[in-house]
Amino acid sequence: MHISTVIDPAHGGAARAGRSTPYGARGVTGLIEKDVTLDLARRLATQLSGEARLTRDTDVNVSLGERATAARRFGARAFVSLHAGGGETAGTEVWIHTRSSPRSSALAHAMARELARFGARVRRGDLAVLHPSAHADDEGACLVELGGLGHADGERRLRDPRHLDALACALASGVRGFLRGGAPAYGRGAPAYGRGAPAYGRGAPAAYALALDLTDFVESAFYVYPPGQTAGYPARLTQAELDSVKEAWDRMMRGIGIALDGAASAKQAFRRMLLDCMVTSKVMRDTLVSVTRDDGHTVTLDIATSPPDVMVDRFEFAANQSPPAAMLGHQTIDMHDLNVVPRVSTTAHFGMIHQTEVLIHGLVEAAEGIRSTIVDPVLRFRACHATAVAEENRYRAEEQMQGMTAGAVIVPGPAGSNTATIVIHLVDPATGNDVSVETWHFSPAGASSTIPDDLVSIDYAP
Amino acid sequence: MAIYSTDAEVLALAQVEFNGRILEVGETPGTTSGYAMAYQDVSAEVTELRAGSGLQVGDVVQLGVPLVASSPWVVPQPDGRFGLDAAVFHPDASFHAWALWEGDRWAALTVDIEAAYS
Repeated sequence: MHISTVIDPAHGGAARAGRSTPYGARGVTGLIEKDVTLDLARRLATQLSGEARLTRDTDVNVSLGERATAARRFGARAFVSLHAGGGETAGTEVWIHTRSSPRSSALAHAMARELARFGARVRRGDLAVLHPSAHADDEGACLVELGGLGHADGERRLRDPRHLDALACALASGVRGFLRGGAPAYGRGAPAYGRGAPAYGRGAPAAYALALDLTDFVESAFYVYPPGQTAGYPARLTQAELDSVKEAWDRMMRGIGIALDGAASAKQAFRRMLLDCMVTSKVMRDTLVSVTRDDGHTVTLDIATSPPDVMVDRFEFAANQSPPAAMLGHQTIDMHDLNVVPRVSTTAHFGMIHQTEVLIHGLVEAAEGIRSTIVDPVLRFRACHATAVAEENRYRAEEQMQGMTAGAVIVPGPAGSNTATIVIHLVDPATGNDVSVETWHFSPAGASSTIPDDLVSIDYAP
Repeated sequence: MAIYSTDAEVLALAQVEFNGRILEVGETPGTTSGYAMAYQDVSAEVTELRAGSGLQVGDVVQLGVPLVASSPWVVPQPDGRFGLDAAVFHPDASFHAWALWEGDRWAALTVDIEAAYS
């Protein structure tokens, strides 16, 4: 079979081979660059269906000279050297030699285009393995620096087989595009809009989509419209917005910005509820995107069903710890209670509090808590609660619901009754008068309990 | 997104700032704040008015003290539920409060009861 491409997994073995060092970078949890490059090279070769050869297919080191001339020996038209360096902030880079041929430049740009979602850019340098004297004139030669081993998150991704597959898929697309003459592998056609349509925009995202952890994310549930046709319709979103929501979901799945804790079934139920709420609410989508974007602060949502002493949710409290305890950055969410709150209003009570706004409240409150610089914990809660209420009201405005909330208050029931309520006044902001008042009734979760922490019904007045 | 960024900004919401003496500590609702504010009521006598208006020295007020899980004075009670620390909040204990009127009672923005710890 004709060999079109030589893939060069950098480093290898346990000893130097000329100027090729054996191990390369080492991640903080022990992942070694030579193993990443070999793993990725094998995946890339598989993607290229036998048209590729590796400069090494085992844990051995090969000199830079042997690596560089391999493509010429095989008569291959593309040479791709793979690295996964350890720079603190290193992202994906595609390198070509400072005196590279136009073919190398074409290959590098084809690769960078496919790796755009990984932040790739083309750089030039005097890299021995890319030296023009080692490569044929009609051969493209580049070096892909994946970065990532310099920080824990990058290392975690490089351990993820799905991420490596996604990278391999993107690299293969770049190679194929180059071999076809430089055309992008997926075309640059106009995005296809419409519900559930795979509107990816320019090029690569098939690989990008593979890179995301979209567990329980149902893309076809969203209503995708062209830009300019979404204003005033909170259920409509553009493809760009959907992409950012998917990225946010992926970050949540990887524990960035938001980490979910609890039983697998509870976390899945939470994700499904979150997805449903996002389908119809831009404020909900914005909340998820905003909270997950800050990877310097990750809030843990402790998801549980009827955890003891939790009425809807608890700020800075971890019910999933043993024993349950106050804990900064944690928010306990009671799925039982949230499921009693209606998802949509009835005709009789237009403006009733929705599940979505309660979820928005909880997420915002938790995220504000871990970002806040307010020292006094009670004042911190007050501040976070105020922001959460404001966002809740932003949702109510989005939905054109009657009345704004000023926040909810727990009212213990009569002594010995084992009951409690949460009372919420929905107020006309213009007059300050009540539009309606909701009373949420809580009872003990089971016959053996005397603690009223399960939401059982909601009364509306008027 | 944050509306308030400093302790002082939140304290500025107070309508009244006063020193008081606890007369009686009410029942805990058993949980701490989240979607809904959880308060534990304290009956107290105003001993010094520091700022604001609406209260006078000698007034007896029902003051809702917010229960927040990470507050140092919110601890598990003998029955396992959370409430004000009885070693700190007890009859005759002195405190300093920033409060606002919430329709039917005074609610503390926060309470400084450092003196009770010393």
